[in-house]
Amino acid sequence: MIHNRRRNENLLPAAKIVLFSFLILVLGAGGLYYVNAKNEVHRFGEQKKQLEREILATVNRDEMILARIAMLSSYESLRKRQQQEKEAFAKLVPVSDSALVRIPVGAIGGNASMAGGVRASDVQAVSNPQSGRQ
Amino acid sequence: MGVSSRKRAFWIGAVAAVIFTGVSLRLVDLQVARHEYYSTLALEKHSARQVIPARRGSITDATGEMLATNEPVKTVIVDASITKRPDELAEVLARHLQMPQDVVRQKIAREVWSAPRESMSPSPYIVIQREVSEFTAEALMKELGQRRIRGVSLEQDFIRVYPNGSMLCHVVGFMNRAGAGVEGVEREMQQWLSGHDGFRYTERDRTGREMVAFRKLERPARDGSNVRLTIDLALQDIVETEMDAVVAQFRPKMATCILMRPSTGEILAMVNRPHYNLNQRDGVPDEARKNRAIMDMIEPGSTFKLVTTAAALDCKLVKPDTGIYCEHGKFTYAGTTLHDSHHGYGELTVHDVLVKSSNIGVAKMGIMLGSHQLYDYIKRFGFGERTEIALPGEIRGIIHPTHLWSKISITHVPMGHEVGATPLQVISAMSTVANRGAMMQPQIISSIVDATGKIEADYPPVEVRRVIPTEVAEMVVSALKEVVSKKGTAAAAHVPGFEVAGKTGTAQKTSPNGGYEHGKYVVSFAGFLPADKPELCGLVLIDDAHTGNIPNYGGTVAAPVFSRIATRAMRYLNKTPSPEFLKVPNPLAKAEERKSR
Repeated sequence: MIHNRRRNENLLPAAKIVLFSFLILVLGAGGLYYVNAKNEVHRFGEQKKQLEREILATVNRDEMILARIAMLSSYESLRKRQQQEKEAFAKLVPVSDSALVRIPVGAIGGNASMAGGVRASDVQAVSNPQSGRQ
Repeated sequence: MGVSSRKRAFWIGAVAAVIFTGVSLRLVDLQVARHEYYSTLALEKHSARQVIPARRGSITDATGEMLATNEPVKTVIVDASITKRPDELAEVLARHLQMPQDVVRQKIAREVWSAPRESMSPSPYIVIQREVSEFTAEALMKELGQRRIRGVSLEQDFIRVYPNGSMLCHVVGFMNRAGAGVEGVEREMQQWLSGHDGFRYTERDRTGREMVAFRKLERPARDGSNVRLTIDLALQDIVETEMDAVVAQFRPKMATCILMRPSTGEILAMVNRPHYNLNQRDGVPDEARKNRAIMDMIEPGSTFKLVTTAAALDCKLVKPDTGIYCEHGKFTYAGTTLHDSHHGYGELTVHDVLVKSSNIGVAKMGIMLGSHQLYDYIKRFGFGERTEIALPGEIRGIIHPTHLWSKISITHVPMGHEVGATPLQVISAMSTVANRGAMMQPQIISSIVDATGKIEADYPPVEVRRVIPTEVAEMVVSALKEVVSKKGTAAAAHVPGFEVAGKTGTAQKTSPNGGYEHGKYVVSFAGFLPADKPELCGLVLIDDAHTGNIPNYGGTVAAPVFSRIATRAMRYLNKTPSPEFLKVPNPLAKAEERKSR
């Protein structure tokens, strides 16, 4: 009788302990997971921001280079360069309209007296001599 | 004992109740009564509205050549409230931004009144330099990062650049510092070009850094659309160089040239002198900024005679071969004597009146028409009305209503006097004749395209009205062809390989004080080619040219310029010349002849 009572008094509620431990573990793991997930969200947010910054910088650099190319290849800058190079090593001599002639297709290759096989009468000026500046 | 313990319990309970009541009241005060205030404060501290700047659209010519574009730049900002090492920061900033170190130090040391602290404190927003290039800003931030210097941020900005500088300056226009177009296409197409800034609501941590995970409402920026003009920059370049030559040779007060495609009304080139550089606008006088092609008024002079002739032919008052007695150069009407400028003529046909540009001949046609009919035709040719070209500041010109005409107006208006017209109106009238009577609306905008190249808006050619029937236009064209011959007043406008039709104009300058300025003329030539199927219509107008020995007439000053421009333009447009019109002396043939002798 006594033996039975002692056995009843020392009995551990194992099921409850396991249940509570499990609950604590689940809650703890959930909490940790939540904290980790939060950190991940912030980390990805930072990565996203970094990527956005890089994309913006690339787009800006691209646009800036395009603007510079447009500036350097514009008519105005080419004209300036032509002016500069007139005085530099590559001297550009503008061909005036009076130095240009038009030769009809049929006139080329004949037995002409002129060099290149073109008769003088076939050669036509491209500009009007009366228009002054040649 | 029992009483005292009950008393104690009462007092303890009472004190606890008072404490809890106090705490509760404070909570109610914070959470309910002052909820709005504190939530706004928290929102201000942690929330922010970021603006996502929209890019302004570009302006290109018809071939896609860039006329106006954006260059991304940065504005360097310092938050002095979080800067720990101001001297070191000043040294780095000064070196990268090429500024004197003292100036940077002074800027950083600036203090502002802080309301919460009720004292002066370092400014959290100091602009150190604007328009810093991307590369410079990148290098600056890299060094600051390496040296762990805090407190510098960059703000995105854009500057407008005009790659072609002064070319087409009056058409392209420019913007003010606030980003709004002030002149030209920049102003007229502001709504399309500007786009809409986007925004994003974000939260910040206590150090002020954005918490990307807590981004809220976001609307992306809508970039501005790109505007494509009808201008062809290669033709524009031809005209610009020729006009520079005109300025160098004749030193005129002003000069204007417009090229137009008669069949569509597209403006292919528009040049004014004086002009200015769009990238260096400081100190530019107003006169240089004026787009004279649409803002200036001139007396068109003899170019206007085509209106009178077309009207008389259309009203069937005359035929091309009808003879008009030109009084041998002296015709008195209403007490005023009218002269023909070069020679006195006897009887001329209507055709020859235009070819010889007889003032008396057209004056008589004006008298035949009567003021009301003449006025009606002037209006139909577009004078006294805006052409509605998409450029700001266009004026109407002046055509007085007939009840304001004097007795001699009927002899003066037919030859382009007492009439105020813009150069665009003059070329539009000539273009109408070139287009065989159908008036097209002058157009400068070709289309609006988005960033991907998709067309958002198109501007097809618009026929304003039929001014004269085709057969009447043909009669006028026939005379205009002969104007550009040895018989006419504009032989110098001939373009080898192409038949040119056109009309010269020489008008004495009107004085601002009334009357005319002695010895000062506005000379012009308006013409088109090839005459039978016009590809190009052009107007050259030169105001107060210093011509020296050359007589200051449209045929001697403006016509040669037209010839040079049209010659180069037809070559550029790859138009096949017709052997029939290659009637200029062959320079090589002469050399060959000399050699053979």
